[in-house]
Amino acid sequence: MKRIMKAGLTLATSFMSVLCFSETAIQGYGSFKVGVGNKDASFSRGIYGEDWGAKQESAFGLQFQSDINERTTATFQVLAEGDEVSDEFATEFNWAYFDYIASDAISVAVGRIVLPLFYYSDFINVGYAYTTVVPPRSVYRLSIYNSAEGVSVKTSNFVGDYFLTSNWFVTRWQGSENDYANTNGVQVALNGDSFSVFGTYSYVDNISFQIEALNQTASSLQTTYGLTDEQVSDLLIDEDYARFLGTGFNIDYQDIIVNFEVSQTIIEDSARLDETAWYLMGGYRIDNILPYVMYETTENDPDGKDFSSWGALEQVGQTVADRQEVSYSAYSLGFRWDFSQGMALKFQHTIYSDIIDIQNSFGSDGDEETFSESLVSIDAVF
Amino acid sequence: MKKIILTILLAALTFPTFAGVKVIVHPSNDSNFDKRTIEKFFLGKKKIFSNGAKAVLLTLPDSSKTTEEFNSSLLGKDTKQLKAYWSKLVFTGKATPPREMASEEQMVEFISDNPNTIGFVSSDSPTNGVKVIAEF
Repeated sequence: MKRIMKAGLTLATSFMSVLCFSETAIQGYGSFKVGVGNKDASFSRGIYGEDWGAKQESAFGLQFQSDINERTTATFQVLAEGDEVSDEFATEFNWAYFDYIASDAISVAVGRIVLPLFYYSDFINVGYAYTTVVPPRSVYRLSIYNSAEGVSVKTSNFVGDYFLTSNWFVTRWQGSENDYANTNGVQVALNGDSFSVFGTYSYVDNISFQIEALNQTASSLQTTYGLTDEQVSDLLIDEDYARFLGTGFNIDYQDIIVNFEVSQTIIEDSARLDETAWYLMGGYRIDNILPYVMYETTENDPDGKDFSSWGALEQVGQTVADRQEVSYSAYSLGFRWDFSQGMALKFQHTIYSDIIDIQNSFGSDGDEETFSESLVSIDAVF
Repeated sequence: MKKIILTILLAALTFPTFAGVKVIVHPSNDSNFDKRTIEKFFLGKKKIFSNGAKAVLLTLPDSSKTTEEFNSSLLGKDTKQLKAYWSKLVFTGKATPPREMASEEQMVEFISDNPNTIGFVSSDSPTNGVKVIAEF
């Protein structure tokens, strides 16, 4: 708790000068999440171990928005997120951009902007904005790259009573080791009074991503089988082409809530398997309490990889690809309780089954594993 | 007489009446408004008045009966649903949420001083210095 207060204090004092501007709108949010697993497992999608853990998924943010002139605003958001490695809250600029509203139909944002890959992308750190304790991990595995430097053009129009929006983006995310050079795409959404449907297509021209286990495997095979540099490159994610497809719908009709989302990720010329994930969540609002159930699954497609050009070593390449498999299905049961103005308490229990996570030695074909997790969160907006 | 007063009091308690809501703008605002347009503004789906000015939305405290009436009658959402709705828009700057006024008097005074604002008060609230564009 001390660390949370420290993080909050750091944020507050760092931006005290901004608070002095009377025309700056300030909004904040906080999500404090704790969880426990039924065992200490190496499962890559299980966050918590046998002992209750906190912070890994907690986040606190402050957003500052100020009008530069009548049509242009400057927005920046400071986010303090729990860091699993350092056991501290790491503070960073989540996004910071200029937004020019050309008309009711078109606006342009320039700076560090959100990548609209998923339905939750716009509010992924704002637990209060969605029903479940955490965004479904099957689909939201890639959401750690939620923002990048670039330009986005947003359009919005009414088609009859329906609100049609699109968000076209050109970005680059560049870390010290990983690089998403030129992530471009579009998200289109159609919103009615009680439903929305959306679709996203995006691609990365040159993705470089370090996976330590894969690097070690490739290096070891190069020594053992004398793989060429080109063959090693066929395994690693190094300046490869990737594409992402996502679609889904959301219904919020009277007291019924249904969310569905499916996504597919393909990284060409690498051992990383093509991955499809989806979830279906249904809930029913009873006054201030919203119980829900959710099913989600992740599947890989080993047949999507072709190592026939490797000749006699084809099976070696295919074996490396097969070892990348991460598949499972999961059922969740939970509730959200809006116990006070702007605050919600959530609980969720998830049972993962049929787990195959070969790289992490947790389940294999014919010897699948199970894992369960209980999560609790307090979410607020202010 | 006591019985009559008691009956009136009981009737008032049993059947609470609400005065309704007036949507107000600055008198110089000559934009076109209908119920659907006002709804679009307060759901962040429209940002610019038909006269070309960027709209500044104003609201009353969540605890206000007028806010409750405005949210449910015009926007079709209760206060907590609306808060969750806005929290989906606010944190990527998709829309700027309504600025909260402390009272209906402050709402009227602020709008009378600021041409690009739009807000609401209860139907029985005085509206000197502002223009009423809708009442429901």
